[in-house]
Amino acid sequence: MGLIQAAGRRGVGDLSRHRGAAKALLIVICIALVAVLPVGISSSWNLELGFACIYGLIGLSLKLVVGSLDRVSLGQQALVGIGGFTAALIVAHLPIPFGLAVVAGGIAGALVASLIGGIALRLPRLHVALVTLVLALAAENWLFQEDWFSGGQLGATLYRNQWLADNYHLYLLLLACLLAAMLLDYRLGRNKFGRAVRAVRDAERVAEVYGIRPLSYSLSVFVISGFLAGVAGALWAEWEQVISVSDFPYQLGLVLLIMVVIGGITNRLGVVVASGTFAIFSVVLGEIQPLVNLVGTTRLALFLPVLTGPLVTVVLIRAARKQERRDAGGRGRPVGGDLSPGSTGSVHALARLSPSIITRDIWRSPAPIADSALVVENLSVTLGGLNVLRGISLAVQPGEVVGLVGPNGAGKTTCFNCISGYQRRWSGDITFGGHSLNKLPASSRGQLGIARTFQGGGLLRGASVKENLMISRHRALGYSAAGGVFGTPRSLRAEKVLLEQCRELLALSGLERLENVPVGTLSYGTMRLVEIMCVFATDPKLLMLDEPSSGMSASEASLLGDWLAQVRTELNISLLIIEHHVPMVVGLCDRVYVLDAGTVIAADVPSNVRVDPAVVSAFLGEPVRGDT
Amino acid sequence: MVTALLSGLVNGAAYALFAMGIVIVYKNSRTFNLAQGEFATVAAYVAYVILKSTPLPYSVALIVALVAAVAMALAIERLAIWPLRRASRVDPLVATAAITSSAIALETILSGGASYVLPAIVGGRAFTIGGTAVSYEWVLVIGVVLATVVLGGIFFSNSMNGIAIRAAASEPTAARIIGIAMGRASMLSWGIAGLLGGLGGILLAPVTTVSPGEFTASALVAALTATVLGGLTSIVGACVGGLVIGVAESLSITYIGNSIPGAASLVELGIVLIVLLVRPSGLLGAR
Repeated sequence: MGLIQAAGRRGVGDLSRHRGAAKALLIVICIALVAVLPVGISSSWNLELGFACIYGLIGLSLKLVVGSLDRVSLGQQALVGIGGFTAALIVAHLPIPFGLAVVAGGIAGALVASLIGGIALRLPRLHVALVTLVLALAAENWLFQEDWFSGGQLGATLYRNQWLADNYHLYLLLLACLLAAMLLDYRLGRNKFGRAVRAVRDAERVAEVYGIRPLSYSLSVFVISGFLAGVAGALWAEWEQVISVSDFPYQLGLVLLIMVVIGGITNRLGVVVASGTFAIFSVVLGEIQPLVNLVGTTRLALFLPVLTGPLVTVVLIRAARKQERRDAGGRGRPVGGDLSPGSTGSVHALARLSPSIITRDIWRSPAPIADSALVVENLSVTLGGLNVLRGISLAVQPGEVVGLVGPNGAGKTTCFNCISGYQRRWSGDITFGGHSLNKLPASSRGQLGIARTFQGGGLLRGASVKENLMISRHRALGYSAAGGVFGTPRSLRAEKVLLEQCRELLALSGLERLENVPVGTLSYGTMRLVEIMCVFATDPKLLMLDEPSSGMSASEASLLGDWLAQVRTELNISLLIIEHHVPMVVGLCDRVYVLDAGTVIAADVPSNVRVDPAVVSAFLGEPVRGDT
Repeated sequence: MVTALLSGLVNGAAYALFAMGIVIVYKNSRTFNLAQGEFATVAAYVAYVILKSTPLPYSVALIVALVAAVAMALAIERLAIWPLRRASRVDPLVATAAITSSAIALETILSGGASYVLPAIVGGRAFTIGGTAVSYEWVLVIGVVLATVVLGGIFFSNSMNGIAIRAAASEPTAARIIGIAMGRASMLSWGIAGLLGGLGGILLAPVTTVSPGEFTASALVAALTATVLGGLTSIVGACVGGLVIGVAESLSITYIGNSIPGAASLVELGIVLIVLLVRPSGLLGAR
């Protein structure tokens, strides 16, 4: 399929390769300019430039927390200090080279970050700010005052190696470290690791459906951030040669946060430039003699912090307004309606593809084996004194299509939440293919092959259609997250194949024009379609669909029903469907469970359920004679 | 021992004021107000400047100082928090952090970085317990805090404004539908937080020194620890937490402070980590 498309892709590839070469050349030139910058300027300036590099590194480490995790750290300077003092301590006591001491500083930062992150990242997002602030004060008042660790008030000294005695040489080393960190940050975002981190940040539950464990990814990022901060601290100690507790007051944490926000929390170069500028700003102002005469040197250093508070607030408010406008604009004009000429709705795009083509020809997945039965026994849920589910039991045999119907508030979605792992407290037993799910986190259930859709649309709204598809293939990509970050040949190959597969799927379904459109701006029906494509891409054994036809017209719903019927004949997977659209339920399901007020009132083949007096009464409110 | 306990209770009572302010704002704006300590510093400075440079009596200085703290809180709410109410939850937190940073820098410029001690509101010894003299100042602090808790309880359970704040905090959508002005509820809760912060500052200033950022480093962090311990959503929990943290701080300084610098901060870090590990909702917080 695709000669034309392949040719088109190659053309684009050529163009981007040229552009890539030009970009690389530009980057090399910029780096060379920055590298020769200190030559010929005064030595005090020279010192400040090295400091700018260190601040850039700290800014990057904080960007990982704020930008990638959407959390606030106020204790980054504590991690920097811990790295610096550790390096100084090690060099003073052990005959090891400076390079290793820098790594040791990084490891010290990473260890403390793993302790803090392991506790705080499990909790609501703002808790990281709270814990890191307390950490910052404990570091400043306790650890950095301990004589054995930091040399107390006098501070710790780290003598430089012979070959680093010249400031310029050390400057080049700092620059190299900064560039390496920027490269790492770039690589972190360009593969399955980065996609998983983004999924966890934007939609944790969706990530879990794809088998991504939120804590392990956010903790990895937090630990990498701690490592970078520790390395920055060791380099700081080497650069200044003396560091002390007064270098790392808790106020510095506030300033670091401000500079990252001003740089743009997800903008790598912006953060580095903003941080570097912060480091040298007061020195630059100090060069302006009239200003110094007017306010004095000490006050000059405080000007920046005074001004940045209001500045950050304005930046945040402007960004929030822009986001609001964008959201409003997106809601106003859905682009899903004019998908392709001749089609009236998005479901047609799905109808063009048979399920077996998607799994076999596009994802090249092994044919799914429905060897797992879902068995739910005696499931009860109580929410705030209300018995949402009262001991229901149901089963989905391998390859079976089962409907779950009932009036609003009957407990259908709660039942789904228990099976997929989002309901915290429930009692009963849920097994899938013999595995007990009772204690498994949602992501492990995803890994077992249980996939689901959400009523509100389980997608990353800010990410494009293509990105959503790529994230959904997380588990199927056969390379490790670390391999992806370091760009092993295997991972690069897998990424290339994945991109081609996604493009092919979009092309075949006629959605190629939406490839780079953020999902949040799509119409409701198209979002449903993309969501179904995404859960389908996880190679599920059991697919749970929560009202798949909501928001669709009757004809679209019947197309979707046909497609799901095709799933059932072509593939050997089980389906559990919550649905209100009666023709779809009747036409599709082998068996139907009817839920009312938390109990199963009927379980039979659809034709029998339809005429069951208890069911009719539950839906239409007609009293059952002799029952009351 | 008795001295440590008593002085811990006094500090803890003041921390309880800060902690209540933090909880009220957290419940309403869903953010930690990192500027809570700066309300106290502003109030203490204003009182100090008035007492130092004008012949006005203490009471006037106190009132003006509290007004200044409330004004600062309202300004932050109107200019930063309210415009960010629909933004990501991290944004208001970053805003309060940035404002705190600015406030500390501004205080340093205005004061030249020096520290002050506010004169005692009342002098003299009230009575002795177990050989420890209890000053009227201590009695006053505890009395004011108790009165605040009682008045606060009456306000939140009996007055229309108090009930409106609680409704807006627990069910924002429903509250808006039944006609509670969300902006007003938000301003009221920040105003109360400013008042509590200012009061805490004035009560603590005579027993500690006031320097730029001092209350953020000591009282704010202690109060945050207290809210974690008591449960972020519980006002009663904040009071209990404040007292416990005050006593824990005081005892740790007395018993291990000689061998470990910054013992109080270490104890706070330990409490925060252990509570969040074992019982993240705190002692009295909603699960």
